[in-house]
Amino acid sequence: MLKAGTVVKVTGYADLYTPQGKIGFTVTDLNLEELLGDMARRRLALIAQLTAEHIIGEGAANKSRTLSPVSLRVGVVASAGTEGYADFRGQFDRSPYRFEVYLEQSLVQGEAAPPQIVRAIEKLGALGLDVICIVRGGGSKGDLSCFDDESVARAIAAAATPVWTGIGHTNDVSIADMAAHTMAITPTKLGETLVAQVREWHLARVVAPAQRIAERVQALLDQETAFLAERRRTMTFAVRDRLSGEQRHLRATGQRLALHADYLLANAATSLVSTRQLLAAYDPARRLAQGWALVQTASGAVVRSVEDVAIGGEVDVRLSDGKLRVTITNAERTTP
Amino acid sequence: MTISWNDAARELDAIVNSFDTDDVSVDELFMKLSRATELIEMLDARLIATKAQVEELSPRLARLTPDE
Repeated sequence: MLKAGTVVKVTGYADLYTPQGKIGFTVTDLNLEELLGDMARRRLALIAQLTAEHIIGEGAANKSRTLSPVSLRVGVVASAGTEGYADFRGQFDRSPYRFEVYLEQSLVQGEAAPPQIVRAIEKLGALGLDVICIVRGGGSKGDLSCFDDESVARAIAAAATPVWTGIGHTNDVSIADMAAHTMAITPTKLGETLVAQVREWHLARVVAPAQRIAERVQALLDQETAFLAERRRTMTFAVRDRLSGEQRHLRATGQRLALHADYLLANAATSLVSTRQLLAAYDPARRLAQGWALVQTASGAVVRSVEDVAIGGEVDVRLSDGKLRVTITNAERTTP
Repeated sequence: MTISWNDAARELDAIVNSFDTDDVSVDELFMKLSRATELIEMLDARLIATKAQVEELSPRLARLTPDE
């Protein structure tokens, strides 16, 4: 912790050994609050400077990096075998998605850590991945001081790839977090967020459209099925109506014809009766009954004139109840 | 060439409408009914075939849902 330039408050007393010409200083108290206060002051100064340079904060350079909507190629700066890395990696392994993880090993605590972290960020940055994750499990403030290192913040800002941090801490947000595109409070949370982001994309861009397609296909099939059923029904009814209409028309025509025929028959019957009556009036039998006689020659020809017969000839005289064979003895023409 | 679904549906509509609007003779009635039956059978067969194809694809679409 103590380095050249570090300011600490030391309490003690000085001893002067005059015979030997030596001066001694006995430390009775070393005030670390001063030391921590100095570290905090330097940290604040660094934050102010990096903010002004848009390395960290709202306008941090890495925040403007475009994040792929499906970050599946993930670069990781971590120490393999640590709990933090296992927690982070576990999120991917339990998800249904195939994440490609490129691990770049690095110390994540101590003075040697910052250059390793910077190198790892640079190496992963060159691969053109979707995202770089800096992962470290929880630790004390001192353990995590490497993430307050200026060089780490600058490496994050310089990276063309979005850098996400999952550094477990309980108090302050590290400067690396401030420089990052996105920060999560733990490695687990970082893994969860990445998986959730992929899941969200998958649901919105794959699952939902697939469901919409399935629904629309079903709706279209239902609609066309209903269309065909309706047309089939309409067709059947229309044809049945048309045929029964035709049948009704035929029946009505038949009935009209029957009525007409009855009328014609009745007329014919009436006319037949009058004709029969008329004919009856001319019936020879009736005339014969009235006393008229019909004279016929032997050949059956009707005698209409005295000239039709010769004296001495024979004729048949037909009466109502028989006929007489008569010999002509005299013939006289009557004067009209 | 096979008649398209829309053309067939339009022709079927026209036949059905003609029963309401035109004076269809009995001779025409048979011809129209025969054509309409042919169209309905053809559309029905096509619909059944499409449904079968959809049935085949549906599980593949359903599989896209993450099993979490």
